[in-house]
Amino acid sequence: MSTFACGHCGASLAFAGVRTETCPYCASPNFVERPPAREQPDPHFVVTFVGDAAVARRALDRWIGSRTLFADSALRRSRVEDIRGIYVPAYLYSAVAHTHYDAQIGENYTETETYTVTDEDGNRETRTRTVTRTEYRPLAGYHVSYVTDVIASASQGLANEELGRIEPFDLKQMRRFDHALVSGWIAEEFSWSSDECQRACRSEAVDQVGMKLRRFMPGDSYSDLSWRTSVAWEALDPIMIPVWVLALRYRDTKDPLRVVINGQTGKVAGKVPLSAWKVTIGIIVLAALIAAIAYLIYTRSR
Amino acid sequence: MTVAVAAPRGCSRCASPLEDGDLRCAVCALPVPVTAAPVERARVLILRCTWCGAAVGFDANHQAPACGFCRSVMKVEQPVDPVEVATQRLPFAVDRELAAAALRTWLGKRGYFAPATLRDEAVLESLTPLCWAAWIVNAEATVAWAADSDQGSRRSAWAPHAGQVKQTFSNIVVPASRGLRHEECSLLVPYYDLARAVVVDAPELPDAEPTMIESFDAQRSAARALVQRAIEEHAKRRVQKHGVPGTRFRNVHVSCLLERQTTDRVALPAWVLAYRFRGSPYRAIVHGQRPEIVFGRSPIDWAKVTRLAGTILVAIAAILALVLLLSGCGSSQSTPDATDYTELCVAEQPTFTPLTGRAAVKAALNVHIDAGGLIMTDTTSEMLLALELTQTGTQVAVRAEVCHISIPDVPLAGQDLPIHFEIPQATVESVGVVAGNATLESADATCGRLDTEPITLVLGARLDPVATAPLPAADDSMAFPACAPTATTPCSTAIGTGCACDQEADGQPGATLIARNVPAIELDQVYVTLRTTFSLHGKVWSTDFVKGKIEATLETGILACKLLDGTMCGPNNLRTVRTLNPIVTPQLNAPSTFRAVRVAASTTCAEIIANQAKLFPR
Repeated sequence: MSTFACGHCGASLAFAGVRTETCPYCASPNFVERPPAREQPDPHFVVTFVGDAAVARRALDRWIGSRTLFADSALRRSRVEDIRGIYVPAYLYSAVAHTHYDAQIGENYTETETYTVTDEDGNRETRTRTVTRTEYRPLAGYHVSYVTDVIASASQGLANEELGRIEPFDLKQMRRFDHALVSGWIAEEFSWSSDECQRACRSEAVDQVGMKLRRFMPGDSYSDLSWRTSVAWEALDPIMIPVWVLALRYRDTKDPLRVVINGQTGKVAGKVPLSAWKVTIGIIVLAALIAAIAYLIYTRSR
Repeated sequence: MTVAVAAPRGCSRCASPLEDGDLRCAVCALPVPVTAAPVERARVLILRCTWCGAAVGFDANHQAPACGFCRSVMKVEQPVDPVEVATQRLPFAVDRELAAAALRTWLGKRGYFAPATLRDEAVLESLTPLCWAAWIVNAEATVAWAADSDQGSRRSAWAPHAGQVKQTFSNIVVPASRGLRHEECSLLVPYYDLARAVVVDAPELPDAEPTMIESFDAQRSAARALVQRAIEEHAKRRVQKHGVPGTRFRNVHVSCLLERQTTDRVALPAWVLAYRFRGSPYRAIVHGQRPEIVFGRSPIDWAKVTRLAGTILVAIAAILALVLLLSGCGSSQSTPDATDYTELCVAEQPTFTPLTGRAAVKAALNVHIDAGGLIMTDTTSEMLLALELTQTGTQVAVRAEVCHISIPDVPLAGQDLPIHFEIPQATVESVGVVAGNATLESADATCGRLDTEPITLVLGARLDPVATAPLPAADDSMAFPACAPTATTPCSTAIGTGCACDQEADGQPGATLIARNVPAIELDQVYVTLRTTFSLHGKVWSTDFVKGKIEATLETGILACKLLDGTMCGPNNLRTVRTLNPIVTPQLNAPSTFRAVRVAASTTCAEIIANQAKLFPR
């Protein structure tokens, strides 16, 4: 933990895990500037918040209103316990991806086949019909592309998977980092090393290549797609990402629900609690429907 | 914190140039390196309001630091995404007079369907010099591709292929214009001399007139996406042409790794002309550097189009005539198969049975229709006949009855529904029984030739001599020679020669044709006189089977026509139809043929139609 004097009134401030702190006495936003260090890099870029907490609340209300029928109904009466806008540390990754792939490509063709039917009188009749079949041909090849806009969280408080649920960010609006752009907000320190984040980014890059390959395959279908990707010209830049983090108290007996909101686009993510009795009734209604349909089919077939 | 941005000249990863304000390379997204001012030791900073000195924080609503006391907003660097502007332009090499003259020349060459007076009557309303916006892209790329083609296909018609190739893109012009449509830009682009580009604010010639330089309707980020899509399309076309083996392709996918991409923003010259013809406005474009490149919209003379449609009608009438000629064929049997000279004919003598009896005939008339180039198609009309034959030595007397005629639909480019012609059953039945003579090579042996004399058949008119007398047709005043007492008197009872009569007694002169989906005119029926002279040349394969070829000529005369709304055609419509010159020729590689098979003496037309699949197996 680092301790500094408030730049405005001189009060002692403890910067625990953050680089910004607001003085409790004079409300001055302080920002720690320090020499670059490997474990604590200076951010190169920042995506700034668009809209204040009221905008985030509106996005939250829309999200709660659009939850499924099976969500706990107490969610609609929930209260926000704490909402904080945090600049989350992350790494922005790009690279050149060279990929060698193998796949079985399905090419369709049609054939005429004969089959036999028996009518009510027991007469057998041979008929023909056209059927579509698939011929699988092996294909091996190369794919090359730039992999861009991969973001991995370097925050202890916001896991990479959680950040992934509120992506994407519009990186065209990204700015070069200036402490004036985070002043007055919580700017979390980098918790994960660049090596750890680079590994996470590479894994995401390979997944991204896989998505491109699926669109790249010829034929009517494909199977057994496998690929080996090597990356070159990697670039990894520290970046600050705007995220609203809040706790929703919907039942006193339950833990508050953690919700994260993209501070730029307003995209919301959170694990919605389901209502046990709603799910039970849903299953019963579904089972009754299936039974009714089965009964109808059975009576008609007789 | 003070940050100095390194001089942004080129990306170290893809060697593409960087522009002012770029945080990352537009091609490969590599961040532009920065050099930060060194910080000796950690310190606390406070951002102060430059107006009142209070500490301020970043205001997300203002997208800038704002003071909570005096409400002043500090200016900070904003993301750079400016609207694109042209940096170069190509000078005009075509002046106003030359552009106007180019338009006149173009209007004079609009082809057969344009009004004859277009060049002289068109009024030029405006002539605007426009420099339209485009990007000129140069790049190198590694292109990986995957596609299906017919090369190496097995059970399926397609086989997958993949590959990788280096490509260089030089001076690819990507249109960014809103004033010109993309197709118009594509027509202009190949003719620009890009080597003559000058900076956009270079001085014009003293007598040059003010030119509108079109602004780009895209911000930098959107422009880059458009340019990259355009390059990928180019790469795809090249791969399809030179990379993928085979002759047919589908699912062509490319992935481009672009390097050394440069994008210049240019303004390209063109003249936009507006002219008016008989009250309607039209637009044309003249290339700004090559006056011979002119394109645009021009009026169409629908009367000429109608004439063409009439041509098609008469062409179909020709098919009808060829069909009918077979009804006069004296020999017993005919069929749509070409003569097979490799087939061995075995003489049946002495068991030869005379051809006398009844025969069913299936004929296929293979003709080529050329209607002014609008329709050029091969088509086949099928016909079923019932024949009564009487052989006396080598002479055969023939009495023929038409049972059924089918004319295939004629597809027309640019029109959903094909042109459909129909010969009313009344017309078919009105032909009645036609008599003719034929000669056999041998009176009592198969494998001999059967040849008819030329037989002339006239529909909708009474002529003497039938083979050479002029065929009645309407003149400019819609008048034509009518038989007595009127032109709607059935031909069987009409009096006179060299005159038109009612072929099928439907109250209309001549023979009636039904027409549907004819372009430019909502036709219902066309009334024609028709003369065909034909001869049959076949071989008697057995006393129950004859097949061979037909040779025929055709003349037609247009008498009148009726529109779908029930009204008769006016002089204009009729004149266009009347002056038609249909070209209906035999198909070179598929002569018209016939097959004839013996049937029971009591067989009717209805039975021949019902049993045709059995009588004439493929």
